Amino acid sequence: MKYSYQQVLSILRHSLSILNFVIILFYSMLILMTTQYIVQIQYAREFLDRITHLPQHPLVTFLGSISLYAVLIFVIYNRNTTKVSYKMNVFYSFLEVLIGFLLIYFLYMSYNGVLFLIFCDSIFNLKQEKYSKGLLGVLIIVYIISSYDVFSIFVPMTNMFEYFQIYGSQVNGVLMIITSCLEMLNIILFIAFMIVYLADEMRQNQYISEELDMVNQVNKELQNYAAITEKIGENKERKRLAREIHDTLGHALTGIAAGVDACIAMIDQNPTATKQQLQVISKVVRQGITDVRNSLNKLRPGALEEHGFKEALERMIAEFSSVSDLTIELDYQLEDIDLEKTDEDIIFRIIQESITNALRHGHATEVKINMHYDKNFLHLKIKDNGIGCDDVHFGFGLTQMKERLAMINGEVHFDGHQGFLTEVTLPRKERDKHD
Amino acid sequence: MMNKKKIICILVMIACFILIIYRPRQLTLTIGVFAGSNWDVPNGDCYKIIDQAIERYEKEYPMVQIEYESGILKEDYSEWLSAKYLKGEEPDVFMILGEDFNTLSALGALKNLDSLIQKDQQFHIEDYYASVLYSGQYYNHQYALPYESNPTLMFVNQTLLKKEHIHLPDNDWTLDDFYTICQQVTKDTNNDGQIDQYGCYNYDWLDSVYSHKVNLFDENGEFCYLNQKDVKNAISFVQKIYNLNQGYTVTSQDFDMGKVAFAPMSFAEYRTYKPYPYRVKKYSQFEWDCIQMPGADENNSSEVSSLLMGISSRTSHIQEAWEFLKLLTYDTQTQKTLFQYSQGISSLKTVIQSDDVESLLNSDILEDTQVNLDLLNDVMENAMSQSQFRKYNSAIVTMNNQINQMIQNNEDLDLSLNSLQNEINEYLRE
Repeated sequence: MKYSYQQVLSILRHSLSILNFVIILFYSMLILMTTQYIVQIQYAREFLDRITHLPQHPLVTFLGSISLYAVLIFVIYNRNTTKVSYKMNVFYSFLEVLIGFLLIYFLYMSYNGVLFLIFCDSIFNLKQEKYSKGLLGVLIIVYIISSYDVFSIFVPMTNMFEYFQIYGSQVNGVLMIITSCLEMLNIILFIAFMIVYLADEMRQNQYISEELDMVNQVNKELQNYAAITEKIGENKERKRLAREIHDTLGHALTGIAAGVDACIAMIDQNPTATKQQLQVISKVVRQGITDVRNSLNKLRPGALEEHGFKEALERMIAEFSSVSDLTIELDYQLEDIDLEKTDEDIIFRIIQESITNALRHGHATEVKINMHYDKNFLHLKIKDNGIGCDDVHFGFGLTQMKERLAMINGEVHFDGHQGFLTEVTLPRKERDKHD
Repeated sequence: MMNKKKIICILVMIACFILIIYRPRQLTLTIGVFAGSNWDVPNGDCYKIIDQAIERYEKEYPMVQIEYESGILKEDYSEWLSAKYLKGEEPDVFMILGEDFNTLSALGALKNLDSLIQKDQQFHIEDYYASVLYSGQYYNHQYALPYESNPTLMFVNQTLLKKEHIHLPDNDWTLDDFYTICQQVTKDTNNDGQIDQYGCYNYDWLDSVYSHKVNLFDENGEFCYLNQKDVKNAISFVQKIYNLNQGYTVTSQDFDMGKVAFAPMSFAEYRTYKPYPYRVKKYSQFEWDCIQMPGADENNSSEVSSLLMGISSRTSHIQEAWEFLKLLTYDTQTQKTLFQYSQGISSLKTVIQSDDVESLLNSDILEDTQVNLDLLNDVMENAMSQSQFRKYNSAIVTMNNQINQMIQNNEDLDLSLNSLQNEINEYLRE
C-alpha cells in the first residue's frame, strides 16, 4: 500500500507527539522516582550539597510537565482539525512556543526536543514563507536559550544531570544511553518529517509549473484563434464594403454615367428631353448619396447606432466596469448640444481607447471622464490613476486618435505624470451654437 | 453559541480560582524542630519552649494552627530537613543547624528576611548582638535569626590552681597569662619521670584564631587569608601550648580526673554540669568554674555558636511565618524561658541585660560563680563570627586537618601556611 505525502507527514507527526510524550514522561518520572530514592537511601543532605539550586516540588514538576504537554497536544490537534484564520495561525504558533518553553523550564531545561515537534506543526500549518522564516528564527533562538548550559547562566536552576548521578555509574550509563537514544530518535523523526515535507513541497511546485505550462499553451492557441477570427472578420467586412460600394455607388455611378452619355447625345436635338434626363440623373445622384449615407451608417459602432451618444457611453462604461474592477466616473455636460455623427464616432472611439489604455498600460483602478463646453470649444478630459509614464510614446492607438481628431479640426494633448491625462479640444460648429 | 459557553466557563473558572485563593480558612503552619540540645548536652525539656510559644501564638492568631513533627534527633535533623526540601514538603519555619545554613542559603532555600525586617516597625535588628546576627547572614543578606546562642567559656579547675598557689585569673586575662599558668602547672607530680599534670585540654587553633580576632576568609568566601601575621601568631601560640606537654596528647580522661587546669567549655555544658543533678555525676572530684576565654590583648574575644531559625523561601504564609519566627527569636518572654528550659542563652541584648534573668540563671547554682550576666554580656559583645559561604564547612575541615598536623609535627608555619592558603584558594575558586 502506497501512502501519500500528506499521510506520511501526519504519521510522522503523530509519532513525534508520542515519542515526545514518552521522553517527557521518562524525565518527569525520573525526577519523581529519584527523589523518592534519595530520601530512601538517606542521601538528601549530600544531594543538597551537590546541586546548585533547590528543585521544585517533584509532584509539581511531574504533573506540571505532563499537563503542559497535554495542553500543547490539545493546541496542536485543535489547530489541525479546525480551520483557523491566518493571524490565528501565527498566534497559535507563538502560543505553542510559549507552552513548549514553559514545559522545558519545568523539566529544568534538560530536554528541549519538544521544540522540534512545535516546529513541525507550525511549518505544517504556516505554509507561507514569510512567517515560517520568522518562526524558524524564533525557534532557533528559543532552542539555544532553552539548553541548560545557556539558561542556567541567567537563571540558576537545578541540573537534571545530578539526578542521574545519584545512581551508580552503571545505572547512570544505562539512563544516559536511554535518554540519548530517545532524543536521537526524536531528531531522526524530525529530519524525516522535514525531508518528506520538502519533497512534498517540491512535488507541488513541479505540479504547479506543469499546470502553468498547460495554461500558457491554451492561451497561445486562443490568441491564434483570435487572430484568425479577426482575419475572417476583416475579410467579411471587406467583402461587405465591396458589395456595398458595388451595390450603391457602382450602381448609381453606372446609372449616372449612362444618363450623362445619353444627355451628351441628346443635348443638341432635344434640350427639353435632356433637361428631363438630367433631372432623372440628379435624382439618381441624390439616391446614391442617400445610399452611401446608409452604408456609412451601417459602419458606425453598434451602440451608437441603437442609442443616443450619452446612453452609448454609459453602456460602454458599464461594460468595462463589469469586466474589470475599474471605477469609471462620467461627468457629461453636453446635454443641450447636438453633435455630428462623425464627431460622436470619434469622441466615442477616443474614450473607448483611453479606458482601454488606462486598464491595459496604466493598471488604473479609477478613470474620470469630464465633458463640457464653452463658447467656442468642446472639452473632453479623461484622467486615470494608473502608473502613467514619463514620456508619452505614440503607438498606434494614440496616433490614430490624433489623426481622427485632425479630420474634424480637433486637438489632443497627453500628460503621463500622476496617472494618464488625455485632453481633447474640439472647435464648436456654428450650427451647434444655440446662442 | 460556542463563544458564550466558553466565556461562561472561563468566568466560572476565574471565580473558583479567586475563591480558592481568598477563602477564609484555617491555615496550618508547620515548623521544624529537633529533640534534644543543639550542643549535645542532655535536655529533658526540649519541646517546652516551642509548645509554650505555639500556645501563645495560637491564642493570638486563632485562624492559624501550628504543627510539628516530634522526635527527630539532632543527628537525623539535617537529613530529615533535606529530604523534606527535596520532596517539596519543608516546614514553613524551622531550626537550621550550623552546617546546613550555608548550603540552604546558597540553594535559595531560605527566605531573605531583609524586606520583612525593614517593613516591620516593631522589629529592631539592633537588639541582637552583632556577631550572632552576622552568623545568620549570607552575602550580606539576613537569611536567619539566632534562636539560641552558646558562647565559649574557659573551664578552670579551681582545686588544681589552689594546690599550685595560683589565683583564679581575672576575666580580662590574656594569652600570655594563660601560657604562664599552663607552664606553671605542667609538671610531673608523682616523680615517675613523666608529666601527669597538664595546662589545658582541647584548646585548638580556632580558639586561638578567635582570640586574635582574625578573619580567615574575605566576605564573599573567595579568598582565605591564612598567610598573615595574626594567623601565624595564633597557630604558633597553640604550637607553644602543645609543646609544653612534650608530645603527649591530653585525653578527656585526664581532664575528668582533674589533672588539667583549663579547657574551653561551652556555656551549655557549664549550665548542664554545674547544677544538680549532673554536678554529682561529672567533675565532682574537684571545684571548678568558668571564666572568659583569654584574649590576645585586653579585649577578650571568643567564638559564639548559634542555633539559627529561618523561613522557607517557598512558604505560602510569609507573614504568619514571620510572626512566629519573631515570637521564637525576638520575643522577650520566649527568650527568657531559654534560661529555664534550655542551656543556651538569648541573643537579645535586652534579655541578657534584664534583671529577672539573673535570678533565673543562678537559681539552681549553689556556689559562687564567676559566670554572671555581666560576663555573658561582655562575651556576647566581643564575640566573633566568620563570614558564611557555601564552601565554608569543607574549607574549615581541610584547614583543621592540615593545621593540626602542622602543630603536631612542629612544621615551619610560613611555608606550610602559604601552601595551605594556595590549596584552599584554589578550592574556593573552583
